[in-house]
Amino acid sequence: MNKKKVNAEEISALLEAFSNVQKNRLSEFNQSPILKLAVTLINIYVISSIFMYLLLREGVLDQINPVLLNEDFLTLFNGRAYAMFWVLTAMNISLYFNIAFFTVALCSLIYVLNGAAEYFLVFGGGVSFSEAPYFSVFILSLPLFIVVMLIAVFTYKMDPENA
Amino acid sequence: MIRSINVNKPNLSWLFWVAFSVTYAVCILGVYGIIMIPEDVFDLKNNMEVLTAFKLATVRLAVATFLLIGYPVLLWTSIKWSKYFMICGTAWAIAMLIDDYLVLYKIIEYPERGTMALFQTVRPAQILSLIWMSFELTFKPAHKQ
Repeated sequence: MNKKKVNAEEISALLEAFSNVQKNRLSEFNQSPILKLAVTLINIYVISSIFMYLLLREGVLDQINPVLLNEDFLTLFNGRAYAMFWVLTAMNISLYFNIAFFTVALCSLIYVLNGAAEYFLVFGGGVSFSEAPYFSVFILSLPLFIVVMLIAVFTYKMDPENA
Repeated sequence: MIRSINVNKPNLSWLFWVAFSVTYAVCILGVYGIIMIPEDVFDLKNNMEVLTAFKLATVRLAVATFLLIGYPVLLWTSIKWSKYFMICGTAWAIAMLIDDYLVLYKIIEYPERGTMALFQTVRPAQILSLIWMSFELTFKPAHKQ
């Protein structure tokens, strides 16, 4: 049986064929520190919001206003927590593999904007800070979160090599 | 000083224009449903879920109407920005559908008959049309050379 070894020319051809994939995979390291900071803040905000919601739902934290813990509102917070978890997952995966991060982040931003508008329309200033401190902190920090998402979308460099 | 606007006729498939028409038709149906809803059909004073649904639908459709009025201008002037606009619109339409059926379903309640019920039924067709337009604007060179 003829066992032919791969020569240097063939090895270089193989490496060249996969060079684009390698370049794309590594290009996230060439992104600006502002983007890295924005993505880190987004992760911290979403994870801490989900964690806070879970603590409230399980009764570890006290919620003064019992209306927010009725079944209807819990369904809303539960659905939003799941949706934000998957939005965050999609954003992190697309940034790590450098696949369509701009589009994924833009869609995530739209989802967050829509969610924020719904919160304001559904609750409409009917909840005071003293009655629901954790929820108020979450609602009041939403505009800041939206600004951070905007920064993440517009500081992302699609082609870091030529930026 | 007046800058001239470069207007190019977009070279898009007939399926794009069908999807475009479906999107506008569904939006017009929604606006019609909001405007023409008979006041005696629902007990609007006591039904919190219906009131919330109509408040949400009114705000959403008002924003969507302004966006759809402006979209043809963008389509004829910049394909690049009309593509991003369409992707944002598609994401928004999907976000609203997901929220209505998975997040807000215990807080809002749409009527079970009439124009608004028909609007709810045809919303997936509108999303399908938006997805088609987004794909076509992204993957097809849209201007005649």
